[in-house]
Amino acid sequence: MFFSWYLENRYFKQGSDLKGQITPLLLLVLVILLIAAVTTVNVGRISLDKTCSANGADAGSLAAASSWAGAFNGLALMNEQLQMYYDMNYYTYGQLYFTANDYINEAIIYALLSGALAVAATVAFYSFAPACCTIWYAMLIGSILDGLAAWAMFEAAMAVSAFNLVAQYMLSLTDSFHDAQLEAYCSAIDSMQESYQASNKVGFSFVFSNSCIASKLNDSQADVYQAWMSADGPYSDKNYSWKDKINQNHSVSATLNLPNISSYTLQHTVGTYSQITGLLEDLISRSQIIAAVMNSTAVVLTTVAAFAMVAFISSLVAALCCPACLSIVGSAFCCPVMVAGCWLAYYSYVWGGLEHAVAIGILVALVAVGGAISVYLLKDKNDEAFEKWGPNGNQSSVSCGDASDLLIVKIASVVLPSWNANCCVTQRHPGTSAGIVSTSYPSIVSCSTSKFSGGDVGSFDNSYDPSMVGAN
Amino acid sequence: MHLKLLKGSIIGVVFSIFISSFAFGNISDIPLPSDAKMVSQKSANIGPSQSFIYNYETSISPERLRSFFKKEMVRVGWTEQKQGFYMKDGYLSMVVIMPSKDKENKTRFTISFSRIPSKEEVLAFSKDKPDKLNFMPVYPGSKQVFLWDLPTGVSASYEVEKDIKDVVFFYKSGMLNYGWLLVSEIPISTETVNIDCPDCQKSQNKAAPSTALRNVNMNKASLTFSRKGKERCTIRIFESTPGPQGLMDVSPTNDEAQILLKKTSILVTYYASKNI
Repeated sequence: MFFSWYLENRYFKQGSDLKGQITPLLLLVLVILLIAAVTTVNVGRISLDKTCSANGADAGSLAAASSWAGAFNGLALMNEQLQMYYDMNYYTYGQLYFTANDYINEAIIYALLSGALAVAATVAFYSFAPACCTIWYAMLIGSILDGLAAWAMFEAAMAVSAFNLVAQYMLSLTDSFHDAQLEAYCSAIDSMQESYQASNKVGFSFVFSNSCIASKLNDSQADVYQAWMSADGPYSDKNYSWKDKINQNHSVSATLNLPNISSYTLQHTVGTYSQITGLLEDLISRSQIIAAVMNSTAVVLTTVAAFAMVAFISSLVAALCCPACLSIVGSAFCCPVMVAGCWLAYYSYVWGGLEHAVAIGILVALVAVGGAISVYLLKDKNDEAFEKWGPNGNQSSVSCGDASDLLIVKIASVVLPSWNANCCVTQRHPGTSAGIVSTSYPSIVSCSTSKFSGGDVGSFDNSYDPSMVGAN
Repeated sequence: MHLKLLKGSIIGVVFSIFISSFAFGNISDIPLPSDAKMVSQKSANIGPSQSFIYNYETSISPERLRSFFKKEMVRVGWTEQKQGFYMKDGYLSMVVIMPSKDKENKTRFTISFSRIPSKEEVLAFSKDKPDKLNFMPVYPGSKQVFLWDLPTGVSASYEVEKDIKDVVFFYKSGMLNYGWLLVSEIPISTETVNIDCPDCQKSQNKAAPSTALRNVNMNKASLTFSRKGKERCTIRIFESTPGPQGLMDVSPTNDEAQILLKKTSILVTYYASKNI
């Protein structure tokens, strides 16, 4: 307006004492000064916002990394307990294994001894022809041998029964160890998941509390902001915006890239849980049957030994009465005794199955040898189960469910996409208006990276340590 | 009178020496490095036997310590078994060397030591009248074979002359009264086996009539219960019965043979919580 007036009046008022010619220039300078002032204020604000966003990003990444590193230190301790618990149970299982093996060796020796004694008894029975008025010494020998065979067979049955009990306890131990390790592993996964969320929350909380938001708010806005901070606002919203007194929008937003665990590598035993329990179940079932058969055989042997002893004693009585019976003097008393003795000896011989001495011998020998072989086969399975309890390979696991058939030794390692937490903060503020015209400047972005790996990740040394590794 | 007192005190001293040497095992049989210092000791019941655990520390490196035990244990009469176990006169021991050193740069190692119980000792745990359990019912008329502690609960075994179906039904219904929930079940399965000849079943359909250990039915089932989230109870049931042309042929007319074989074992594993 002033310039157009000047342009319009510069010729026809020549020579006149024109005043105020400097005004346009001054006005121009004023405008330039105003622009310079606004620019200076805005540049200052940019610098301030840059500092605030950088502080927020650094604090966010370092806080998240620190919290996450703490969680890994906790996991390392949990893992040490997993390993210790495995060692303890492995020793316990080993002790039971050797105890069980001891019983197996004992059972084999007794079963074979019983078989040999029973065969010897059979030879004694077989080499004998029953006849009245003779003393059946073979019955005495056979009875003693069969009695000893029965004792040895009972001992074998007892040893197999003891093995059965130990095998049952081994199965219980395997069950409880499996449940305990799985529970600990599942707790570790849950705990790490919770820690991951907590680390994110801590990171976002540090971002917003270090981004100079509070200093830009009036009292009532500050209260709202504090309530938002306390109510997990930073984690859930990731952005905070407000209006200033001239109704201009301000906002601070953040991103936090904290890598989560993508999988766990679990060290497990040679055999799976189902393989080991399957073997132990088989051991229990088979040893139960073997012990029962050996027990039955021992009962049969005892019965035979008893009949043989009755036959021997009866034959002895009959034989002692024979001379008297044959003479006229004592016949009235001795003859019935002799007849009764002969009768009892003979029927004991028949009822005891001694007339089929060979069949009995074969049966007992078969049970003894078969039992010894069966027990030896149990030993093989027992060895196999123990070997399967040893620590072996690794398996990747992403959840609790996929470890359900494993006997976990320890967590061998954890897999993450990276061991760095990356945080970026964006500050968006309007420029100063200086009461005349509104201005703006670009949003300010700052990023920061912190590592949380620290020491040796794979071996789970509890030395996870956060530190800042980069910022831009 | 004095003589009696003297006699009594001598017996008492001898008895207490015997008991104390038994209470913490005979660790003197195990060679130790000269600077080994005992840090702690404890005992734990492992099923039928008691185990003693001694924790030591030494300045010797783990590698040297390993070779020390390998050489010295054999020298004093221990026989090396599988997986680092040693055996001597019915005793069993194991040396575990910790992989990492402690803050004072000392190597820590643990010696576990136990006596192998005799079969009579193991079988002596049997009771005709089972102990009452507060967490589950006990099958009526059953015989308690053992009730032993586990690191995280209890292991109990019972025997009963009942059909496996009855036992399964009993626990399925009875456990509900104790607040348990059935979470998994392996139904009754039957396997006919030749105990002394595992491959015979595949090659021949009929067992030789004279072979006592052939054609035996092994029935088994398993029930797993859960309570209050963390508690678990696994009940495994085993039953052995004579199969066709199997044990029946030993004595076709003798019912006793069948009775002796018709035995159902119940194995209970109660998992309370991991306490480590």
